[in-house]
Amino acid sequence: MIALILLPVFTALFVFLLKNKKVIRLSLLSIPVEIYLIYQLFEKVNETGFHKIIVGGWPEVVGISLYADYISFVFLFISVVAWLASSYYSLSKRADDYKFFFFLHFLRGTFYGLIFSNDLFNIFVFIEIISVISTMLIIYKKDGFSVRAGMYYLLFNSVGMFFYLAGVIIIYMRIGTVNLDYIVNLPFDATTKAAFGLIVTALGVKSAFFPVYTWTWLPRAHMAAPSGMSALLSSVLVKSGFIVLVKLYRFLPEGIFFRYLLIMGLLKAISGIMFALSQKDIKGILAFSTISQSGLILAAISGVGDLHIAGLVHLINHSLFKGLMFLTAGVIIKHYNVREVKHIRGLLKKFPELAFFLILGGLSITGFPLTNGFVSKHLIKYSLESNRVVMYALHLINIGTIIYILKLSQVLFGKAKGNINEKMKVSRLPLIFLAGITFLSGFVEMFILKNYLDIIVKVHLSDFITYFIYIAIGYLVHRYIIDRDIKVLQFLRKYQLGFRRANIVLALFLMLTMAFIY
Amino acid sequence: MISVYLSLILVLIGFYGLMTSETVIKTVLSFNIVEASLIVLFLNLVALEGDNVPIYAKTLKKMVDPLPQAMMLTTIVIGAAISALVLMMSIKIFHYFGSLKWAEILERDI
Repeated sequence: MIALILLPVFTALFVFLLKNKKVIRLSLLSIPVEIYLIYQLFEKVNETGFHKIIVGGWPEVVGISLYADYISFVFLFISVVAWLASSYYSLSKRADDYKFFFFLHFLRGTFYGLIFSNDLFNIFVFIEIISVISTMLIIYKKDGFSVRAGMYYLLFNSVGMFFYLAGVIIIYMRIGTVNLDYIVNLPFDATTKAAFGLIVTALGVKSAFFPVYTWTWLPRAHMAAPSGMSALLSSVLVKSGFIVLVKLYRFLPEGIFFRYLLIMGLLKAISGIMFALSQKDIKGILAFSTISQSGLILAAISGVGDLHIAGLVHLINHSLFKGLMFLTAGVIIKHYNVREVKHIRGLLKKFPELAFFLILGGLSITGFPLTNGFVSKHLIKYSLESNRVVMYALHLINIGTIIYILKLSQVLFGKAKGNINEKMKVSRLPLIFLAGITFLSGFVEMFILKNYLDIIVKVHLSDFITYFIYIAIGYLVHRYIIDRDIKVLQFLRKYQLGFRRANIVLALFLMLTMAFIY
Repeated sequence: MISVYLSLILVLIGFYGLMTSETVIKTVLSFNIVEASLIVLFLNLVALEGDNVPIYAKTLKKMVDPLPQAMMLTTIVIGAAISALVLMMSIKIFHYFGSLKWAEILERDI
């Protein structure tokens, strides 16, 4: 495990010191080596169910311990796939930019560290390093827009992490250690509840819960970053909050935050859709779609049993198809030189392969039967079937998703105009790679769920019928409401939440969390 | 015990600063106040009356718990890195927007 964390970091150092074009190309080879190391780790975990080491031979109470179990491989899988695709994509654009690749490789090492770390303080350190390095990548273009977005991202994340630190302090004062294995013994009384409330608030900032993201940091960062980086942000780094949540679930009483996180997730999903519909920028739609989909993940991942597994599956699927869509959007912006949806037209005729990738991503995100999005959405739907209000909310989310994908799909048709840069060479290989995995993953997931977890996902005729009813409703709503750019949408697009007000919202969010927990 | 309450008050002052400061520099200052006072709060909480500095001496004395000190040292480093990065970005922001006031930075759309 230590080798897995250190290998990307040393690769990054080599890239930075040698400053050579060939070294940058060779440095991508460290990812296959990491895949081999992950395979070795998997064999170790397969023997006992988990693998744990303590760095430096200190006693476990004070030492830094690293821990891996089956769930760690979910996150390892998404990070390897996302980094492989986005590093190769960046290679075609910035072949000799050694600084960019230094940060890209370093970020991967810290992300592995976050996946493995088993004590609360290490998680804090790794999350902060991830914030700093991803800020460096967000402001990489160094224009005003991206520096502003990066500053928001860094400051707001760090202010959120103060709450986390306060929670860690309370837990340390109670039990004298920050190791997660010992926190099990903690009695779940008022003080512990306060500590976990603070920690969950901080994670809410990190993974963009409903009131705290609103038009402040995450969408701006997605829109301003280079496309390879926005794919990485959306498909992996937004999930770093979920990693910590899943780690905490090993210890918390079952379903203690379930109700709260379910409500939060559904609110986040619906509000994300509202903002996504108001956007004109192709990356803006995708950024808010990330928020809405990760709300769905949050709602599912907080459950127990089948629902928890559904959340993890949706996390994998979302990271695959959203990475694909962001990279495709990046290539489209390169070719067309504009970002607004209404100026991009005729993709189906000019670039049929890009259109195909966009359609594949759109079908997956809306849950067309047999794609990977269908598997996870189906599981979520059937686990929450008993609750009627939640079911209505899920229908609403499905229709909303279809509406903003319809808005995005305007780019496919029509006649191409403006100066289109057709000769520019942008490699399609990472897109083909991601598209292949996205396409296959649905079948692989169905196979694994059936054989190892005894969950059978079947495609019925009624699923197709429901999907086409959704499409029909979505088309009508899009045609008669969204296309006319009603006043609510204009307001949502223009609304700006300043940094000061964002902090007040954060304090209110903390109070809300505390009120829910007590 | 009085120092614990004082550092708690400092945390709240820092948060008040984050909610009200008008320029980026003031925000960074309040950010640092919150961070430093959280560190002081933690160190005050773990130190008991009559404890010595956790340095190995020839005669064993009653020592302060060294683990929080190690953790807070890391926090100081992280805080320094973040402040440095934000200050660097504020220079860039000043070049682009001609101002460091949040209201004016937000108004302009590029």
